[in-house]
Amino acid sequence: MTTYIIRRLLLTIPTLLIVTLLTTAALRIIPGDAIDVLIGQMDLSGKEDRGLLRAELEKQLGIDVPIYVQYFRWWRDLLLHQDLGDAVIMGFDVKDQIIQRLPVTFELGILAIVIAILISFPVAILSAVRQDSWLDYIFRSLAILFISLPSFWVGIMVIVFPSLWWNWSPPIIYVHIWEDPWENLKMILLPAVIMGMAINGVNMRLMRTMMLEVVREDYIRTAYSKGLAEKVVIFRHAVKNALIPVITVLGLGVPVVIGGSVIIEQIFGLPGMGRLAVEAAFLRDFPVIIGVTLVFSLFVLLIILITDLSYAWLDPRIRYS
Amino acid sequence: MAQQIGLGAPVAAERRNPFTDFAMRLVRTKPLGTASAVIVLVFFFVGVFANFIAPYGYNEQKIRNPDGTTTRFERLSSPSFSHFLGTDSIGRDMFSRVIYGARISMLVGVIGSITSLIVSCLIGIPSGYFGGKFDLVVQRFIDAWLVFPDLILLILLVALVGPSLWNIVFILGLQYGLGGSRSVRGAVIGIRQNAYIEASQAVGVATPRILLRHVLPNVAPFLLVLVTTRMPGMMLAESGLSFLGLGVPPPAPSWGGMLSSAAMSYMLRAPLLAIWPGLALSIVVYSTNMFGDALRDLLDPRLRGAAGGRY
Repeated sequence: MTTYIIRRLLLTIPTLLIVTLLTTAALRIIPGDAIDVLIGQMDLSGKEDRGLLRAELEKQLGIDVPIYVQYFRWWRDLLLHQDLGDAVIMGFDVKDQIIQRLPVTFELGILAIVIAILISFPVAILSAVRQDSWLDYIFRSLAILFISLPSFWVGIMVIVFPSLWWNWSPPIIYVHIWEDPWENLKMILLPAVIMGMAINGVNMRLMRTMMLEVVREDYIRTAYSKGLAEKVVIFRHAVKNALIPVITVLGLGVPVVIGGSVIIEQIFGLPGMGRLAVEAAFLRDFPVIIGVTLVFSLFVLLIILITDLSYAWLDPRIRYS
Repeated sequence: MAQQIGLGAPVAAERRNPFTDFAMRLVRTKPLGTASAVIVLVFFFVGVFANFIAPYGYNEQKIRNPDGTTTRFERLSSPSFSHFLGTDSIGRDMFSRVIYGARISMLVGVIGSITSLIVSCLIGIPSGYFGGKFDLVVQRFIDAWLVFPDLILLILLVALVGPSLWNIVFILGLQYGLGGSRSVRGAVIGIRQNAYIEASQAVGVATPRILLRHVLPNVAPFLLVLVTTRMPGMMLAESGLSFLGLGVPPPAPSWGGMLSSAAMSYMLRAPLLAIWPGLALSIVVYSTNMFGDALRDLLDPRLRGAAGGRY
């Protein structure tokens, strides 16, 4: 098992190298970059030569050298000095900023996934056990509805209508969890529910299909025929076996959470990673974009690994060596 | 003579068009799926013929009177007979904008799907068919690509090439196509095992011909399912990007763009404006999903039975 984990961790290295290389190359090759934004912000009344100014700025930022040199320098700084560089336009230290913003997105994502699990599992099990009942139809239609509703629209509805009818609006100024956990939860719960909705829909459908397949297995019939109560058969025999593919989807739900955080954080004014990505993309602030990309892809790779390992726990027949 | 006609009739009836045959099966077994397909078709034609249906232009702020003068539309007006859904913050007819929005969504959904299909096939079929080192290398690049969360990657790509309708369509096509190439590869690996492929190889059929005549037709039902399940995602992604201001640039009437932060500041004064574009988008995405579900039930034998319902 340990060797397997180490081998898998080593395999993430080439993927990370490719990811960062692609981002660096793409950001530097395509014209119209952060330098233009920077020059645009400057006061050019001194009638300075734009070309000269540009070259000077490029030298200052260390991007006057070929892309592969920049790429190696970036990895060298990261590995030797744990430094992700400074943002060109936004002006902060990228590492500090990411450390500050990561907990917000992390909390949002965890809460969203927990909510999705709490709702989707019981609903899916009920739906499968009472297959083709009216309850089943309602739940299935709801699942598709959850996938179909655009999260930004739901977010806007949740902000606009309560404030019209009851004069209530979600808090705007972000409170960190270690300052006031209750205030923080009030703020993050609503976005988490909206984000959990989409994951919920996918989960409900998959879990139901899997339960239906498991319920038809021989060992379930055996369990019934030896006189076990339905509750015991479902929870002790069926659910655990139906969980395996669902864990995959939960693992794949993490990129969905990261992507969704972009929109949800924008609507509810949460200072998380998704918002950082949007701000950086608007300004083409390349050190920030590369830093965010690295953190996100590292996360996704880790989740994929954890997902694979959890199979072994759920299905003893799977052994890693 | 009469007998001959009587004998000929059943033969003619057996030579039915496979498409109408399939459509009949869809209507018979999946009433909800059929209804959803009809809704999607309605939106498709609304999009195609938007300029005939919409009472005003999507960017029109005033109208020419018969006597030659022009009248400016009132801003943020409530629904009325001249403006069914009211007007927006700069006095454009909301009903017309929602109708033109269908054109953008459908364009993204349909052209984006076709692009993604081509990308999926170009990568997935050779990768699955040839296998070996070629497959290994290609799949590592796909791995790296899929590690990026969807929306983050889309934002990066849009930030790089600049927001425009066609850029969005092709970026979405590329992104979803690369994701789908995995599933196409899986399907092709399954087909490769069949005896008819081995037989064609044995008699010396050229590889491109095998791919086109034997592999492609056999993954076709699978591709159809892939498209219908990807299309709603693309439409949602486009509106999400437009909502963030990184999608189809204004004044183009994208449903997502109509809900963007700029419009949000007026929403407390005219909350109905926030409903229409989102509602239209939700209906289209919901119907496409329902139709895709029904299609998958009928076409994907692996899931038949397990997921069989009256959708």
